[in-house]
Amino acid sequence: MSSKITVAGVRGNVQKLLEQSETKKRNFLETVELQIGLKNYDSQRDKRFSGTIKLPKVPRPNMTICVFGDALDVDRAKSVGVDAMSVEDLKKLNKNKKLIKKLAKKYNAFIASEALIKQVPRLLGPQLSKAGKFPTPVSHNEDLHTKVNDVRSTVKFQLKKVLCMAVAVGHVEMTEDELTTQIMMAANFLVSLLKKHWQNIGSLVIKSTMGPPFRLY
Amino acid sequence: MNVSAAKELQLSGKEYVLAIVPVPARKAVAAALSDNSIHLVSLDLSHSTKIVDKSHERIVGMKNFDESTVMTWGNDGVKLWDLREQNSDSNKPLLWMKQGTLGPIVSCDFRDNIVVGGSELVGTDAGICLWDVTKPKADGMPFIEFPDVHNDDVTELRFHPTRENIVVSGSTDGLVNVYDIKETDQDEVVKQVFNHDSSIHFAGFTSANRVYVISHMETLSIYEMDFEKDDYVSREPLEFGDVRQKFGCEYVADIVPGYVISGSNNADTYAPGQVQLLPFRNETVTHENEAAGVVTLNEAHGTEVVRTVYLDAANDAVYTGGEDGYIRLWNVPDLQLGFGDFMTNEDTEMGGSDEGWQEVTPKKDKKDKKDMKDKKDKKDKKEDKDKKEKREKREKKEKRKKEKEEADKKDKKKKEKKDKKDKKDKKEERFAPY
Repeated sequence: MSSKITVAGVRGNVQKLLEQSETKKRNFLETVELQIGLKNYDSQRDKRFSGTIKLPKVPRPNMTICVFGDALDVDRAKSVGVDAMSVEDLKKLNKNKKLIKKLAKKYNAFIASEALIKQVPRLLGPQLSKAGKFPTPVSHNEDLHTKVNDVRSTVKFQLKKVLCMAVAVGHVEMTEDELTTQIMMAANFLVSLLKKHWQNIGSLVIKSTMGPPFRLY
Repeated sequence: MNVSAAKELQLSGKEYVLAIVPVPARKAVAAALSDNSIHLVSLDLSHSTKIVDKSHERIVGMKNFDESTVMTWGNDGVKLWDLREQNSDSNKPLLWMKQGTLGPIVSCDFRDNIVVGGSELVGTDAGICLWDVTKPKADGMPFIEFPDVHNDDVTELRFHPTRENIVVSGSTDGLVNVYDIKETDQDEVVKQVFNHDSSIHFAGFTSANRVYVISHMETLSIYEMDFEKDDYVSREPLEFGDVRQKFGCEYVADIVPGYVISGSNNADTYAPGQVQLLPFRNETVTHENEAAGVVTLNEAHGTEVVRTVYLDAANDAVYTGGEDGYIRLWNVPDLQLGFGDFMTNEDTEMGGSDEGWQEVTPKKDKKDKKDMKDKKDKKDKKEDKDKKEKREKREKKEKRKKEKEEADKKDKKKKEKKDKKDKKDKKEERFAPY
């Protein structure tokens, strides 16, 4: 499949976007988002999908993560500086809906030891699933630091019923090169999932949180 | 093996063919179209009749319910249609099961008299609900709803092949849930969750405890259902990853017992228009072009996506339906249906150690157990030294863990037993024979 966007073209737009955010600095780290408008796609009859892409650089460094761990993983989490909860901590929540909702709100994502993940539905009920934050498993063979980074660099995207998709691909502190790579990767992957590929793409736009949009396609 | 279409029939110029299912009583297949109509098509595709004009405002899918009945689902619930009548009032279903407080029904399955429906996300609720076709409520409402189990559309539902109370669901939220539908407690009904990370297209069982999952990102994995074993660390899932490059396709059209059905529709990639039946048995997918058992359907539906495939092994026939509005018939001898007799040690062990299940339906379990035992005996004979060693190792490991968690377990068991006692009455009532 040949891509309809070129590295040079994307880079040009990334430059403009970064210049814009430079001239008007904000008090927070602006996220850069890729927005896709679809065409020739019927949300009633065609599949509505969602998924995740792992990008080379962490797009949202401030993402908070909590590990549900067995003894070993609680220790490992502490050593890499990530919050952790043991089975006993989870039991203490006593399936209290309010407490579990609060927990789900407090973190962006959860990781659970392989030995423990099976118990999560029983310990916490359906509340984590309902919040869209069911944990990702980690085994003792995997390096927890790598796993945490994997989760941080994985972005979710979702095709909404209104025929557009948006995905966070980076932030304005990234270099031009990094952002360009991330955008190319995300755009080409998402296009490959559409049944008619580029024929389904109405527009491709990048935008920082507070900045103006720049059209790539 | 390369096959060209033996026959084709255009049902519509612009509508999609969503599903093709057998109707043995009429020696025909039924096809559901995206304009909400249902057509009865002769097995040789020589003629067709529109038998239902408007099944729903928006139909989502169709399955065959029995010899002469099909089940459709959509915006206004689940409907059963009797297709025996040649020309009855074609818009009146045999039974209309309405969704209660949940949204439109976008996935559905049944076993015996129990129908389970999965809903689209409305507000913050996306869940499943159950109806009993032998005891329909006057207002068509489900007898129980579980609105909290997912956080997006429930795209797939499937019953366990042998255990009538086990159901899996898949959702756009990327999770696959395993339910024990005999539970009535909202917080207890979900027994296990697999986080597949992207929206679920299809899911189901390949054997007693193995669950296949394929996402809209075309990532395929097989997970182990082992919630009944407390002191056992789950086996890591078998991950095939993104199957598009691997299988040389652009999408997976369907997974049926015995085959992954893959397709390509764009002109600039792989083999345009090609659909392949890739043997899927014993947890392996055969995908080399020349390999035995791989069937290639040439120029299946051109640049349009194939939405449904029905394999009629008895008649050496494959039916495909696509977004081009066509049904095509392919003659394919030696179709091998079934996921294979792949039963791991874990599978057999589990059948025996499953206390909760015994309590509820002792008769059936005994039979299952016997089957499993037979299988296990056979397997044991075959087992070589290597496997035995592995098993011993694992058993040791489990033993150690058992000791560790024994204290925990005791408490849990007490609680579970108590719960079960409380619920027992209700359960029996719900599944009593009619």
